[in-house]
Amino acid sequence: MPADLPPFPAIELLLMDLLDDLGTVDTATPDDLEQQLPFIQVNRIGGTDNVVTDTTRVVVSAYASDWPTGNTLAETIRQRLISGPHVLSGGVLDQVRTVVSPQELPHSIAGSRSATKGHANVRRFGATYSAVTRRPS
Amino acid sequence: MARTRFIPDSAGLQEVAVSDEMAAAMLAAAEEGRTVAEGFAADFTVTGEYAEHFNTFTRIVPLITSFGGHEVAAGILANDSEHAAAVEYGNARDRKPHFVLSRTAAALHAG
Repeated sequence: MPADLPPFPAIELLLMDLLDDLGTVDTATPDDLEQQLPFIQVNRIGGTDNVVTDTTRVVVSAYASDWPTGNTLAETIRQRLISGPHVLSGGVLDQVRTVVSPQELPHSIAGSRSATKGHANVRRFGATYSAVTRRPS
Repeated sequence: MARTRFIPDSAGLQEVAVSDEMAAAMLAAAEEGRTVAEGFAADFTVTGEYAEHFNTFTRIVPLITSFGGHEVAAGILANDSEHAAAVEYGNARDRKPHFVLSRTAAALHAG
């Protein structure tokens, strides 16, 4: 039986490394989100592979305290991502293409009486990307 | 040797794109998506309310291509639950988004 191939890099970990200087990056928002802005959320939502490369589909959300800051952060992230290739310690991000460009997404809880509970002072911009990765060489 | 030249029939292609047959094919694709989405929803549903609110339908939509603007029949998968947006994107209370419809689109795209 042939030996198992090494695992593909986790796209979320590559993005945490690549976007680290732009804000706090994680896969879920923290309780104290408003105290950790700017915040970037990365989530893989699908994809496929051809044995050599892993073609992932990821959603990247940018959280900020106001619309202009959030919009700028989302666009900065987009330009960072599509300016590859990126050679990172955990693997290689060969190519990123925008599938759905950054746009404001809902986040606050409608009707929430608690500003903190509802994150009323948070604006969120999300975008979907196709990101092609390789194992580290 | 005689050469063959292809001249697209734009009006004919437009007719095909919005035909009942095309709409039926697109609705079938949306129904396939519904099956995928219901599978994703089953992973987290508590009351089943969200999973019961998927629906599919067809609509004629504009499509701009390198050949110009057209109208095409589209199959649409939607969820009209009151908390569909929270399920899809998460919020301050449910901080891990489920991306059900986004993941469905990615799955259909991957084939």
